Amino acid sequence: MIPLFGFLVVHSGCGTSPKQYIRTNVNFQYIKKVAVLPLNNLTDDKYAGEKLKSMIVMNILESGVFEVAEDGEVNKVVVDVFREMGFREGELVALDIEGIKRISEKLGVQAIFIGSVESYGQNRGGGSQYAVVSLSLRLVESNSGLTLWRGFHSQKGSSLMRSIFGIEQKGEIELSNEVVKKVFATFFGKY
Amino acid sequence: MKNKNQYKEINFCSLLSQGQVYPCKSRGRNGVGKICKLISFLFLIAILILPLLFHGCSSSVIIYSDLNREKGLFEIKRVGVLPFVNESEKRQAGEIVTNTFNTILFKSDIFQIEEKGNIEKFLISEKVKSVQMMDMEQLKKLGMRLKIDAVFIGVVEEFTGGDWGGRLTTPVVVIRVKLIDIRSGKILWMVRHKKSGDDYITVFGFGRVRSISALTKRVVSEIIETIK
Repeated sequence: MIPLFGFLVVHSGCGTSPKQYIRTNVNFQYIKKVAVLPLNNLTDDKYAGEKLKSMIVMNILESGVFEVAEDGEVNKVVVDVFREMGFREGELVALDIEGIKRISEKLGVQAIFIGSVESYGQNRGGGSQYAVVSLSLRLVESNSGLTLWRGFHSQKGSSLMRSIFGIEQKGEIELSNEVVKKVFATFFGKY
Repeated sequence: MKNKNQYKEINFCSLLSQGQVYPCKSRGRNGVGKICKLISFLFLIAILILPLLFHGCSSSVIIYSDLNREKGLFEIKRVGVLPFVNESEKRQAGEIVTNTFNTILFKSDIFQIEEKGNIEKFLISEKVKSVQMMDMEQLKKLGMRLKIDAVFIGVVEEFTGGDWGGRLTTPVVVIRVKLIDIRSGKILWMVRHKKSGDDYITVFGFGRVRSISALTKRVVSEIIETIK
């Protein structure tokens, strides 16, 4: 009975850990202010990008490491810069170094967070339904366009312990907060 | 028969006491009777407490606040509440939540609040399509024209359930709001709050909130409590 219980306890905590890359020999201290660009939404939820973005901004503010450019300002500047570069609304845009520089100059930031929401919603598996959230995020330096940090994490709302004990599974909102915290833990170093 | 039952009890307890024969009901010198009673008591407590531990687990409130530090520096006295952006499926959700937020914020007496009509007049005159696209220049203009120090910008992420057309479903409300200092452009406070009608159940199903408007009032009140 005890080995079985032990197995359940251990397995319930098992899951994928966030994947990360951080550029070595970089002094992050010169980065005072950052911007979080609108996330690329690869899901069926129309507002998944906005929801995850607000969690990202909150986590950065909580960490106290950087100041964050205001959302409305970022959205307007991004639209203005893309328009100047000749892109039309609704067009898929690949952000190059030129675009990054222009956006950063207008916002007065030293680096920008760019990312995509790869999953946000309900999945089916093994006869049950569960929420899943996946986020990929990177920090790009404004002048050089170099990627300074990159993180990825995916998490689902179900677990063995929850299924066995009939505990309500985690929803998308709770999951998105956890995913963002874990992604940033690889950068800010807290867990 | 009586002896048969006693025999069963002795057999069970003797397993616990590693071969020594002491009936559970007797005050055994090795305390086996006490151990049986303790285990039964703990098991009963676990059954009673476990559901309570997971009660309310569908709700979540995530808060960031820099108000205490910044308040002294910037002294937020007058605020404006921009119309909440609606990301839910219910068409009037944004307006419903904006009205509720204005009312409860006014009652809280934390700040002086600019009239909703004046805010809307400004947005129309500046041709603002979406409050999420307002840059600092526009916010500063808003601050100067209406003499406000900070502005609330909110989003209704989910607004479902309640009693619609005779069908009763558990209401769920998810709101995120932030307070921006107009002078500096800094985010002073930010909250994301999710609640369902079942989160207020105490015991035996009492306390459930069935109506979406009652739930909205509670959620907004709880959000505003985090400012104080």
